[in-house]
Amino acid sequence: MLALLFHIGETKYIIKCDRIREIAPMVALKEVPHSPAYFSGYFNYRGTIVPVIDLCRLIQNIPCRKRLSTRIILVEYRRKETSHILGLIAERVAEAVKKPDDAFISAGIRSRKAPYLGGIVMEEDEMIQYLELDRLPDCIDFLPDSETTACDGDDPETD
Amino acid sequence: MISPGEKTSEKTSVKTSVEKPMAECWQKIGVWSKEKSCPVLQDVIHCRNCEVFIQSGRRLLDQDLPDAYREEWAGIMASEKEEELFQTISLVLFRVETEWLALRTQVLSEVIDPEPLKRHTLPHRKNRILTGIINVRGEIQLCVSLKELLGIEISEGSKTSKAGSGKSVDKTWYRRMMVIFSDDGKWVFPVSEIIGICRIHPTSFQNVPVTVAKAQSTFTKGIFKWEDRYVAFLDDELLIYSLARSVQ
Repeated sequence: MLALLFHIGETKYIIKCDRIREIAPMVALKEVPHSPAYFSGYFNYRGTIVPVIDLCRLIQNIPCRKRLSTRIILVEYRRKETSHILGLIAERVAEAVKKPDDAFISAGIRSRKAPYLGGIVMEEDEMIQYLELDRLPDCIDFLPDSETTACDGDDPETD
Repeated sequence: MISPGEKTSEKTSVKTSVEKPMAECWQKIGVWSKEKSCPVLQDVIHCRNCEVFIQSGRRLLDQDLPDAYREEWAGIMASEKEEELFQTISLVLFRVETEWLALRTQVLSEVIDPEPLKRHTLPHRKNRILTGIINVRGEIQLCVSLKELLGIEISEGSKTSKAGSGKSVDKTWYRRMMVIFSDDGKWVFPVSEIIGICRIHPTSFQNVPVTVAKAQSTFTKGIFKWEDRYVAFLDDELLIYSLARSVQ
């Protein structure tokens, strides 16, 4: 299975490529007032409006550095039989690796605040945490028809 | 656990070199392992396989993003994606004298430099299309002339311009022999120049104008524009059939 490597701050993360629709360069986004800090704004993706989440803000509470390697990962997720697209900003999105399915090892614990943090993938002698795309939209409380499970609820800017 | 033991040891040796501050080592050593100046190069053969080189390339992307770049890409991403056309066909483009022609790549066997080839004329055969026999990789093949079959004439205008201006490139340099094949065998013919292989979508074919000389229009399936020139797409089945008939 193809998986995408990226960084959030100095930490390496990995996600499976089967839900990724496209990787776009960092573009100018339409900012929205009274939205949580991790919500970067709207992105006109080929005529459809796609919400974009800053993963660095969501996970580490520091905005992504605006660099050439900072890119928007456009992922698809299903909610109530309809497919939606979500943009994720991450740093150093520059490498894809092939991993067998059983390389994604469940860590056995799950944080209630960040259920999207999955298990571990071994890359040489390095441990890389993978993000579970299925659980990520649940943590973002303004997506269409979201069934919000409380996470990052203590964000002061949440309206 | 994931990679076998041998591979891990090799990777770690690369890794140690990553940690060493070897700034632009490939500029001093070179990218090939000709000299034994870099221990890693002996394993990876070329710098593009080396972790040091790859990481330096990635660092180039760690530059700040200009605002104009974001604005520009916002515009590009907002517009519909230009999908590549499906079901294009692969054609080989070549020139015979002044005419640009194309054949399906499937019938092309090979392209040869005309220099080492010796053509033998066949005695007692006066045929303008069959010009002789030729030795291609130890096999005797028939050498034909597309120029004669299609009735292409060398225009007087191009002749004089070639002789007149010394600036123009010597076009004989581009001469090649093309080998095409069919179920009946191979055919070799000289061409003035070969552009190469390109993919054309069938919708870009236009009909042959009625003013085109009859011999040529019979063989032409359609005309398409490639860069700044019009190219005639030849019907290879008909072409090979006519070649076979002409040598009987």
